[in-house]
Amino acid sequence: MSSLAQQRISPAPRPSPPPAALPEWESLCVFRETFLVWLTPPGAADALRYVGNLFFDLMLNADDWPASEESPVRGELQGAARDLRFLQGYLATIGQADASGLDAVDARLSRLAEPISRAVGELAERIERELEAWRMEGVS
Amino acid sequence: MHELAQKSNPPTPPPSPPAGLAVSPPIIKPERFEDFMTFRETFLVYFPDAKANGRMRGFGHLLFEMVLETWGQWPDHPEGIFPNELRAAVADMRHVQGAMSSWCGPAFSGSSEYEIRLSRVGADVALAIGELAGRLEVELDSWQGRPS
Repeated sequence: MSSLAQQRISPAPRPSPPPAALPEWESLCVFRETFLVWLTPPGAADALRYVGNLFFDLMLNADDWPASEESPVRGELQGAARDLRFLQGYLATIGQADASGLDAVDARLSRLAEPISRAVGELAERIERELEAWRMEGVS
Repeated sequence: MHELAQKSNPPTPPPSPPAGLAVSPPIIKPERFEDFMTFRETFLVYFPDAKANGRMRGFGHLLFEMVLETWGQWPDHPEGIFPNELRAAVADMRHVQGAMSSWCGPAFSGSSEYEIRLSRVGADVALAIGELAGRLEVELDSWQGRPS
């Protein structure tokens, strides 16, 4: 990172990823934490979180944009189901890590990730079934 | 480390579709999660215009490519990348939990029978994903005390 860019990014005010407290979800709406975890220079991840919130505010205030044809809850749950599929794949990759390259604690975490990946996939499927029922039944 | 970071050769984003068409979130095959690394789908769903949605996805690909090109020069996480990847997954699970709890909780105002049913499923899934995140957090917290 250039020294100029480093000067413009303030020191990290908190660890990354941030504590997974529920009230925080609204300030983490744009970038995946599984993406931001790669940004290790102090303050870099927080800078993108800040920019993300700016994106989100701009988007929410764009009244003239075309509206989705989906009902809000249906569209949002479609997005959530896709994010769960993403997490299923991400956790499965952690669960399939080569145990020979991990210490004992990381190996235990890896073993736990695999069944949780499957469970996350089942939750995504549950939402997808409901969404598909809407399409099949043509309910309004 | 996931495969995409290892090979540092991410796929080219698809061309932007024409403007004016509405899009739904794409099907994400879990094994292809690396194609969707940057933005949450619960964010991109607010870009129903196909061209705008495609451009945001293209920007996300570009940003991730730039990070992949550079991250090797950045400092390592003190506790290693592995537990931090899991902590990040927990944070993303908590995000889904929080979002669905909000959309499908007491403030939900849908009136059709189908939407009410859908919101109940969303609320149930929010609880379940929270329990799964909690299981990972317990393991990660117990890890914090290990000798380095």
